[in-house]
Amino acid sequence: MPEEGRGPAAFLLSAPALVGLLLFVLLPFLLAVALSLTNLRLGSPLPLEWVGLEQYRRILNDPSFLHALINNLLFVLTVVPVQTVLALAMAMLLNQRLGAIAWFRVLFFMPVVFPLSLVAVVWVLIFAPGPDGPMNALLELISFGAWTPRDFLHDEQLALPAIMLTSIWQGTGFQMVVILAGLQAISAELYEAATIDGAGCWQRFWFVTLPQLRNTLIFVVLVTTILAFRLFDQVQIMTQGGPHDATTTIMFEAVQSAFARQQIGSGAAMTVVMFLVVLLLSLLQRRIASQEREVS
Amino acid sequence: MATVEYVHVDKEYPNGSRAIEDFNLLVEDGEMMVLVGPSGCGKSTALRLLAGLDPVSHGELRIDGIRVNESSPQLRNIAMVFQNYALYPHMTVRRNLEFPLRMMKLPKAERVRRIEETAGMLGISELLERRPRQLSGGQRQRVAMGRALVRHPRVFLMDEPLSNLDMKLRTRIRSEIASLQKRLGVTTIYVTHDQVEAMTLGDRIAVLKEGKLQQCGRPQELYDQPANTFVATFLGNPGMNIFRAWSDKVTATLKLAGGGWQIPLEPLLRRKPILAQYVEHPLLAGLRPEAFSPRPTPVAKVLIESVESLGHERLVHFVPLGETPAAERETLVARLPGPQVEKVGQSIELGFDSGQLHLFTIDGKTIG
Repeated sequence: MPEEGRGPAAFLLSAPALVGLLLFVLLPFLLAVALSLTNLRLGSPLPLEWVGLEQYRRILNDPSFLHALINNLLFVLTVVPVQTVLALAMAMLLNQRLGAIAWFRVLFFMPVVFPLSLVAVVWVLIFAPGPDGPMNALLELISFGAWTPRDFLHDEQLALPAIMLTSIWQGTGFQMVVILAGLQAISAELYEAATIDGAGCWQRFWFVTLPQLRNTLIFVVLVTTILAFRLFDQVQIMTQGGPHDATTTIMFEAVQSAFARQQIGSGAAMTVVMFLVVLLLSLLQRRIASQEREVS
Repeated sequence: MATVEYVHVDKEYPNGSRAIEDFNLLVEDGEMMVLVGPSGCGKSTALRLLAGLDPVSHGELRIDGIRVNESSPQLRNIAMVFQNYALYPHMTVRRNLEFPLRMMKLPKAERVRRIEETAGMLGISELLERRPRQLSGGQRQRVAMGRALVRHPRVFLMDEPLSNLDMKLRTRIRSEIASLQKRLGVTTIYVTHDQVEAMTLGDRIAVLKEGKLQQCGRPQELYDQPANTFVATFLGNPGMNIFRAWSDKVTATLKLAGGGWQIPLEPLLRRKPILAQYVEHPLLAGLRPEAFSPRPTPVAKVLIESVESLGHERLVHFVPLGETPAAERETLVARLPGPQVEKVGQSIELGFDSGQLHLFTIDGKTIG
């Protein structure tokens, strides 16, 4: 039987998937790498030239791109931990045996189902400037009038946090569902054993829940990190990268470069840089994960 | 070391079903009490109530005479061995044993001392750095026992701790548990559905059925004087044969199994005067499989239905050939020494020692 697995029949059967992967993943990626080494510009009368690493030198000296890189890092460093902790807390709350718990689960998962572009539009309305904007009104209410209305999306300090908030609201539900599944896989007997062994609520969480969720959490953090690096929709709809590059991201810069400025070469270089960053992070997390798995 | 008392304990679930009804039991200090019964009889529930994993609905639970209904499991100082061991998979054996000690906030040196002591006692010293998944079933079982013993608990609870082991290992660990318990003298409540475990381990046995205590006493006592047909059939393997009986005033005989056997009433009445009230009433009679033998009176013709040979003895399933129509005949089983000599379909003569005859009312309560 094992020999048959490597025969021509196996190859034939996996061909549809392989062809798809080659056509839509590997080929575009190789093209991006190739294009990033040229000066390809759409609609330019100049001939196509091989410029080597010139595009990379150029984007790494471009203040907008560096801004994008920093913004992306800030976004990841804030959103990933906050979202994971929130999702964990929500999953623990929803992992109770209550009557209408299924409805609560649906409710918390709902934001994930909405298209991001729609969510972004709604949040643009929430962040509307002036005292009548819902977010301004809310902050004014809970600060007993101490809050002076701001224009969130056109404020250099508040624009990125506003986008972070939108993203967290939208993304937490997905993580929550994954963590909830992880929680439900933990045997109730372990909690009972820990209770009898004298562990309180917090100790049970620390010594049973967290270690048992380790692999789930590593997966969730990895996926969220990758998604966070791909941040684009919210920026495109809510701020267009502004004000003064305060909310620009790698993806946004790449799209701007390739499609607004028609500089395909430099856009391709940016995506390759992003790929490398994500690859590096994934490898790092995989390493941590596999070390943990070896000992556990 | 402690005594444990269940006083009129009920456990009701929100859907109205009752797991335990009016349960009364006193477990003496240092005693090994075995709760036994078929699955769903409430024996595990009784254990969980004592551990504090489930709340008591009515009645009182006492440890050392002090009500513990309201105290949290952490405060009861009870240890428990679970059926599936419930070892912490992400911790080494050492950390598993250490966990309850850390929760007690014992100093490091004392923790190490106790771990070494317990591991030595259970013969798991070489396994301390391993993880549960690297252990065999028997080793896991020992670690689970170790985790419970290491804290020197007041009461030791065991919920079917041997049911995941193979037969040989089960027998060996069973005797280890018995000697360990005697040596440490810790009050132990042991839950099992296996009557052999109950008979061999228990100082006393409490038999449960459908949430109600049927009988509690020393193993031999329960075996010799079962309070009802349930206890009679549950203990012993195979259990006691129960079949219909009728006492006839005119002939002054007791007719058993449709008249297959008839024995004089007189000696029985002398032994159990209360039987006089049941003359001319339908009764149930009980005989252990080992009460039968080919020789003593009364002898009856029986038809052999099947024989299971165990080498040194045989279990003979038969129907007494009395006056009853074939459809109503009851199949009984006899345990006879020696290799098989009977053939299926053959009819032989079989008698029993009437000193070993049990009599029950028609609803199953013992008479006398």
